[in-house]
Amino acid sequence: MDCQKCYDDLTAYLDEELPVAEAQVMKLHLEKCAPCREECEGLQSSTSLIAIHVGEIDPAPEIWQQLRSRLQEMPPPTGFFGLFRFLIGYRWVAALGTVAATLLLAAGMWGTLQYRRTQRELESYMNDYIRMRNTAEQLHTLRIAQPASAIEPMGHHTLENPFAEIRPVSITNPFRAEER
Amino acid sequence: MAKKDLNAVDNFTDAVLLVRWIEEAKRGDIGAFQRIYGQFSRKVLNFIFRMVASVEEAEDLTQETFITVYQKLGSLKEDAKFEPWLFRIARNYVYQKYRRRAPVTVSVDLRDEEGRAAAELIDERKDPQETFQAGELQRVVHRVIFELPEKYREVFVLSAIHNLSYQDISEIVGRSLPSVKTDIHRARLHVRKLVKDYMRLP
Repeated sequence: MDCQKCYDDLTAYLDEELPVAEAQVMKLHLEKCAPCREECEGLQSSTSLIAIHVGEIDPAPEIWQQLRSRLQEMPPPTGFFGLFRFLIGYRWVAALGTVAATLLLAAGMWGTLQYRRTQRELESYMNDYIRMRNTAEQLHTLRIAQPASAIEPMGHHTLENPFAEIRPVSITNPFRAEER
Repeated sequence: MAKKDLNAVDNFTDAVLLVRWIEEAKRGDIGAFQRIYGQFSRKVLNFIFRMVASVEEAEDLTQETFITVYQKLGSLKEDAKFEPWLFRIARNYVYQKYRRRAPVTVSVDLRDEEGRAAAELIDERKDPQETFQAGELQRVVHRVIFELPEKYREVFVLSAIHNLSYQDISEIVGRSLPSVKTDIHRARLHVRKLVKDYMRLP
């Protein structure tokens, strides 16, 4: 083993992260090589100094008390209610869902209103058509019932055409705004 | 029985208990979750404190970490290691905090908003005599830790102080094993230099 390789692997060796065979080679090298050994001791002592004297904070009891009261308001991590737990963690998902639901509802209401309006207009169109047909039928009946001489000829029309006198009834197409 | 064997038995017992607590906590048993909290809260709190350099922020982030842990327990796979998963959540909160504020700059005395030194805060629940003796050394130790760049600080804290394996650290920080190994080595070299400077060693 050369000193550069030893230097690169020193920390892994000290942390017992080297494979057993490599650690053996490293150990042998350190026994023979004074500069590498000194480097190793320097690293070890500085790290130990930090690890020993770093000190630790103990968690204040209030942390758990606050945590517990928050946990009690939450659904369990698994189970039916747990399926909706993501809504708690990701409030933007809930907000986005609300907006999407509102838009869907508004679109549904608009669609229903449009449908009802169309139905009304169609009904009115059909009524006009039926009225027109009834008028035409009544005129036709009259023409058949009366002698031809009794009927005053109208313009260039002849009796051969029973519908000739029927004036064309103009029906407004309710679907075309410009005609209304 | 050798000490290493005893540790292995302890670790096995802890692991078995932990699996049971997790299963119970998943079903909403807050008592089981309290035991998990009792086992790991100190580690998480100290890890966060060493990253954000503020006791108050560390306490807030610890609470948020455990809330997230509880919410996400259901998604924790059975074969997943709990500790790296927990530290990864804590680390995410630390980095969220970093993004919301300027990077941590540590004054010479490492004092918080109320003017209390971090070393005093750490020792405020201990014997005053101990505090007096260890205070100066702790101040140096904290200066060394907080002067490390964030990238090196996290791997140094996780490896040298929390004794986590390189594999676990790699999972926590989301970097490859060789990259983590290199960062830990560089962090240790950095620490050695800082210790030398502060202790005025040759």
